[in-house]
Amino acid sequence: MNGLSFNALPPIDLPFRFFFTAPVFVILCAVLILLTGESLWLSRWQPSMLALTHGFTLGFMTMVMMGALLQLLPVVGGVGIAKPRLIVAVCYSAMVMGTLGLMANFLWPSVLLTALTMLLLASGLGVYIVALTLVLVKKLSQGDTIIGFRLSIAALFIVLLLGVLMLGQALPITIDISFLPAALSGKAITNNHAILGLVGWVSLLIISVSFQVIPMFHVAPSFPKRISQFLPAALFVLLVLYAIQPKLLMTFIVAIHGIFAVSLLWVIAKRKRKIADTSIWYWQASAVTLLVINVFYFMPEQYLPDNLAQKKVILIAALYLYWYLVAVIQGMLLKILPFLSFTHLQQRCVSNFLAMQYLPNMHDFLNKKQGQWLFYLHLLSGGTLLVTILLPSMYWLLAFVLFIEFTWLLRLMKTTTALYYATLAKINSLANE
Amino acid sequence: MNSNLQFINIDVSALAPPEPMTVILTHLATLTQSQCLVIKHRRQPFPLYVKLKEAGFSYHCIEHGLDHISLYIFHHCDQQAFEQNLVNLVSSEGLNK
Repeated sequence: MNGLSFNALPPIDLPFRFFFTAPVFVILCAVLILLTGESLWLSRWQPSMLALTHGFTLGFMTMVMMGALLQLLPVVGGVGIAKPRLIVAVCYSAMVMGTLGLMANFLWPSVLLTALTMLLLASGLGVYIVALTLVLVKKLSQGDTIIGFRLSIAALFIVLLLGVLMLGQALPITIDISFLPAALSGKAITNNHAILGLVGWVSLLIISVSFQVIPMFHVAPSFPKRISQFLPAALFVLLVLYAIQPKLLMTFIVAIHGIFAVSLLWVIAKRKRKIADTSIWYWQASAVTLLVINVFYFMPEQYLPDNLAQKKVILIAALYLYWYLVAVIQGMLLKILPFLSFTHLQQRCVSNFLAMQYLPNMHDFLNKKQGQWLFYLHLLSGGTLLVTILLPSMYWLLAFVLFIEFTWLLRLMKTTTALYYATLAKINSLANE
Repeated sequence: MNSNLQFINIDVSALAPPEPMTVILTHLATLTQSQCLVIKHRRQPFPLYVKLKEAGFSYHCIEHGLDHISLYIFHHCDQQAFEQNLVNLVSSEGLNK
């Protein structure tokens, strides 16, 4: 760590603006589901389905991960991004407008909207990738997690590149993509974009973050060294090669997730503090989901009921996206919202120990019971999603449950920030005395 | 300058966040000059370092390996005394900085 100057945490309002925006996008997705009706579930290529998936992947997942990385880098590696306020001002606005533009462009395609969306997403994500890369190229502590961050940011860059190339096809000045290998032509480019986004950007990041946060927050043993050292790199290599042999390599990608799930359950089982914790429930549910995906994926289709066999791909995608990725992200939000609020206030006490008297209990920031209700709502919405895929006429129930769940999440966030700012005011008044 | 620092040992390695910081802050609040807080922790509390400097403290971290560090926190004015003690600390514990 020689030559590094450690950073303090970036101001709390920077990650919080990403966190607050994320549920709003899912609420928007709920409205889209309600207004589009059964036709949305006909095929994954439906424009409304593409709008929906990007609402979840960019609007919810990427939004939360962008905010979380701002905080995680200084905590894990000791160094945060330079000029965080400026970077976030650019990236956040461009991401919000770009994601809205993309969703709108799927529904009501136009050249102007396509060009604007390309510009906004490329600048929003591009500036963010550059800002993070400038930190990640340094020699940072906590090697395995940082290596995972590097790989997932590299994946995000490729995802962005493929996305821009695909959007560019709708412009009058067509971007020539004939230089791409045959394995990346036609729908293959979409598949690579989707797999790299979901697995390379989001899952790889989640896996790398778990190496830090599970042992840290739950006083659990570290992940087995071989897992933390080789699993992210193996996953990344498989993703890069995926375009060449998609079917074969997908089996390895699924199996690697199974290995991660088993090691995650093992680490959780070995934790020292076995107290009821909703975020642990989320991790456990996600790990079990990955195991279910493995069974479902490797089971020969003749053993599956017809309706499950016909919708196998979309069901696996839904399990992966909602029961694994969204679940982990939501569980992490339940953990880091109160933790960040408390830690930011606590750090103010270092220069004035008298301020410690105003610190509430960390559990006051997020009521345990209310957090548990969010988990139950997630199980309900997850179940409803699977039912809707099999019975599209149930779309209205899915829209309703999603709306309730993510409004509830917003309410929990509002309670947390209200207590944060009330306590901050007390601490500031003490400093002014 | 008194080179005899009084070392106060605390172990926060089995605590879940934010308890380690709560324990550290509670001890820092009563840490006097010529005293040094020795914290056994699982990871370096990086963001705390900037705040410690701003508040007039110095720190020194020794990484023993995965999930085990020793963090020394003392008042700025005890820097020289700490450095005199550091050689003995490292040799007695057989540690690498």
